[in-house]
Amino acid sequence: MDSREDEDQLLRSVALQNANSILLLRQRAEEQIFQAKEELERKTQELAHSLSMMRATLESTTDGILVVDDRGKATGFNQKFVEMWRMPREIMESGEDQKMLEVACAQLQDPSQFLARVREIYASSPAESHDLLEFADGRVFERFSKIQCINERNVGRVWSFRDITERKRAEQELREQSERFRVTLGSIGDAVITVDTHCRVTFINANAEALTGWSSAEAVGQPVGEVLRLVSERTREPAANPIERALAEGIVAGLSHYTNLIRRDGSEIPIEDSAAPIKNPGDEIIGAVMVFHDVSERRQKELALERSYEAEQQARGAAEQANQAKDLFLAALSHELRTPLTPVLAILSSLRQDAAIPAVLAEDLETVRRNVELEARLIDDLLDLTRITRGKLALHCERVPLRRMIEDAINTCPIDLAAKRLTLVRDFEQPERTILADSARITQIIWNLLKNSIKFTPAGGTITVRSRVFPAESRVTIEVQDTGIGIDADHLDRVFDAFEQGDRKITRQFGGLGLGLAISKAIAESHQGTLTAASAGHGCGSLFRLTLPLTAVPESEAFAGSKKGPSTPSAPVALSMGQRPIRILLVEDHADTAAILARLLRSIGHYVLRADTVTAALQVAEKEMGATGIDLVISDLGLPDGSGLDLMRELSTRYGLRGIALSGYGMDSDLEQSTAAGFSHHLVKPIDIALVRSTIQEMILSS
Amino acid sequence: MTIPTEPIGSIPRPLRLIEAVANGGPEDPKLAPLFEEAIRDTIQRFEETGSPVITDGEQRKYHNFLTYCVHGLPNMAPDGFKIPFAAGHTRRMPRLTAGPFRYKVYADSYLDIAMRYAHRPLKQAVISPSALSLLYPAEGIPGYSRDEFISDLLNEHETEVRRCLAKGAHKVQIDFTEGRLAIKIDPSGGLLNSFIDLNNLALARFSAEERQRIGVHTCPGGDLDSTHSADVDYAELLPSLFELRAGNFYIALAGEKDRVRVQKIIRDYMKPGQRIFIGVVTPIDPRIETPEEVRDAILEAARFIPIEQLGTTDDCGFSPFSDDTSTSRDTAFAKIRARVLGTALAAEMIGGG
Repeated sequence: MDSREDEDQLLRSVALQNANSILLLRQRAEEQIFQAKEELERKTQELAHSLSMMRATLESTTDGILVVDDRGKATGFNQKFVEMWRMPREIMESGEDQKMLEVACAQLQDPSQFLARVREIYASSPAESHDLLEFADGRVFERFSKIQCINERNVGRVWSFRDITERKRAEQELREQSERFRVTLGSIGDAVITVDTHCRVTFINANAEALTGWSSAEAVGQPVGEVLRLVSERTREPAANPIERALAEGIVAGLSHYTNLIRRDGSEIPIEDSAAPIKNPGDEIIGAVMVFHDVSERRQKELALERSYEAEQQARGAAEQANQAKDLFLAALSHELRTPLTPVLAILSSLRQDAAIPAVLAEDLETVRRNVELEARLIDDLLDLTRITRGKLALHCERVPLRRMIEDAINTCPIDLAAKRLTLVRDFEQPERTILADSARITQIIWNLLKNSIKFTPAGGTITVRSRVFPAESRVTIEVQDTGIGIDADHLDRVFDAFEQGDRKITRQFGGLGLGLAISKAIAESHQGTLTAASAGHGCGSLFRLTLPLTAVPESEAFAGSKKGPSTPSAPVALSMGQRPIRILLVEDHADTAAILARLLRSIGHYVLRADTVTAALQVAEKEMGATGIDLVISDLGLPDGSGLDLMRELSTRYGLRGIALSGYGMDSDLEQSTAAGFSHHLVKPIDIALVRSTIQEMILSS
Repeated sequence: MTIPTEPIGSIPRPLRLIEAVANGGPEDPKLAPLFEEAIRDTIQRFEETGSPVITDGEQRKYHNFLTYCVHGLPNMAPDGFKIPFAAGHTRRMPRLTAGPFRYKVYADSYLDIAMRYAHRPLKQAVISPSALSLLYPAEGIPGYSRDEFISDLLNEHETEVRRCLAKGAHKVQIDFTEGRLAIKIDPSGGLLNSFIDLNNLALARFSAEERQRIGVHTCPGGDLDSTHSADVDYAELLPSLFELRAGNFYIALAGEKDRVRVQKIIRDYMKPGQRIFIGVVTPIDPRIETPEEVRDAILEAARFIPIEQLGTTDDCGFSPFSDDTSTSRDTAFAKIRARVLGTALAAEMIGGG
């Protein structure tokens, strides 16, 4: 092998060795390329995902998005952008910015300003931009842009457009509403102040300016407590500002009464107000409003009324006192008038039983009895009338047979009927009915009507008592019809007036005060009933009709008897079989009454111990209770050294004694006091000895 | 329409310069004015040819297109491989004696001077990594492996190309004359492929845009009117050549015996995006081609190469070795003028037709 061949071989050897190194290098490079490719693919996938996400984000946003490169050429956009700008698709896909600008300019109010702004932004490349675009058709877009940089190099800009037409419109409406609100608040008659959430004044209308003394310019921005200084009229302490409460608690709040506003000049005016929170559509409190007005005039009137009321109260108190005095006087008068009648009636009752009394004298005695009884009746009527006019007529309603009440009334009249030879006709409807009523009072009405008929019916006439039941109308009627003098048509509507008896001639002829019918009508009405009168005229007799509500009460619950009836004068009768004599302590300071009562009680078989004072009574009781004892106490209530009520309490407490009160005081309150003191019964003077006797017998039986 | 036309690079040095270098060496400071004047004159005459793209004629490259970057390095020994030429003479490469491998001169330094005089785009030629890979000795270098050398080589090449691009070179041409030589050395093609791989590893470091400004020149190697591998068939080289990732290919064609056959091979293996500059003048032939001949050669080539991918060039540098006086400067510029004019004629004909 020559040198040339050696040279070639050596070159070949070097080249091939190099080739091995190059191959290794290439393999490494390929490996690197492969890894780079994989990395690139991974990055590409990530990028694709990011791009997909970005695209989805772009398309899902409500804004129109446009991406341009650093020369303003469109490189990306979303569908919203195309729709908002009404951009032809082919222009968007061409990316020709000039054509896009032309389309945009054609829609805008001021295209030149728009273009100038675009040029300015591209020239100065601000990091961000923001402005508003107004369209010729009224739309308004909010435009943002942000520069896009890669490695600090400007590569383009992202524009976003938001259609704020509705928002702008809403803002305009809100401004108009606010203006209307301010005008309204400014023109209403009340003073108005609004505050923000920091309690600083934001608005004050003219009326509020006038009342507070603060001008709007001075007040706005001030703490409301400075402008509205409130103080209690009565305590002079600072009053809580309701506007602060409305803000804090979110409620409508008002001032307490009698709050004064201290004006800026220091003067005060009473105000009335209401404060309420102001809330936004999200129900958040954004302030509060207070409406108030000057109540000086009203407050002055109230003060005048208060003074007047106090005066009236004083007058009323005085009147009440006067009425009480009058009641006391009437009660005392009744007592004083009744008390003398008691022995007279007792004596007359006793004499009627005396066969030794000549007939002529008996007639005189009867005349005396009748007049005394009339006197007692007049006293009772006066007391009833007093009760009625003062609305203090108390009813003790119970279930009571209708016919029983009628018969009770009739039974009080046989002497009068006989005296005038009057015929009484009973016309009662069967079967017997029971009604809910104060039996004594209903009996009193019937008795009054009967007495009237007896009085005004000439001798030999006829009186008919009639009862009817009307179940369908749920009422009953009781009529008293006579053949008497009748009533003129002119007087029919006045017969129920107090002190009215038709005319003065009748009064002179028949006497009486004319109270009976007035009282009867009042009692009827207090039972939800009526009392009416009818007459065909003078000489044609009269008809009085009492109508009462019918209450359906089973007969088994029918009333067993009346507890109280009109005092019916009757003669004392000796103890009968089954009756036993008892020891009675009679306490009465009126000597005549005490004497005749003692005599009558002894005449019917009882043993009577007498005392005329509380002290004497207690002494007798002490003595007797230690000996043979006392069964019953009968005591007057008005005694020289004390009250019969106190005596009864003492005797009841010490010895367990029971008693009957005798009193000229017949008011309801008097009966209640007697019961409370321990009396079992309260009999009103003049005393009917028969009633005394039956009451004693009842107590004996109940013991 | 126009057809791009570019020179390969070297222009014979002025005789005074050749003599002065022979006497004092290329580093003698006193030679600087001569170099400067040679460059100025070359550029002036280049521009006078009408060539739209010019070079500095590689007046400053020493001693040749291959070893200019390592000449004078202390880790180089003169006893490297001999490159045999057909005329019987040889050129000897230096041998690397120690690592690391670094260039002494980067070609962009030539641009610094040329740009002072040029009024037209300047092109710069650099040596390929595959050619320089032959500097590493067969027996290896203790402490500096072949792999480390190849890695350093790629880095230095990349640095040189980037510096040229950064200074505004219109094109950077990688001289790859060893392609045909590789086949001559290794007919199996394995060596050629390794050269292609190595150069592609270097090209891979550039972006596609940058690669459009990078070209590869191949020729049978011209020196003293002779070649080192003209006997190697292009059919064995071109298929692999077009695998290089360069945007431009400068292919010697005018000196080929059967140009049509070569052009058919080019047509069959060229790829889209590649610009093929065919050689239309032959530096080793003292006869000056006429513009019409050039025109006709181009029209012939246009039958095989799409006109939008066609360009013209010289087959090779007119003086790859600095001491070559076989071709005069006048001849070189006359041939260049013929290329320029002929290319214009062809463009006119193709555009008008």
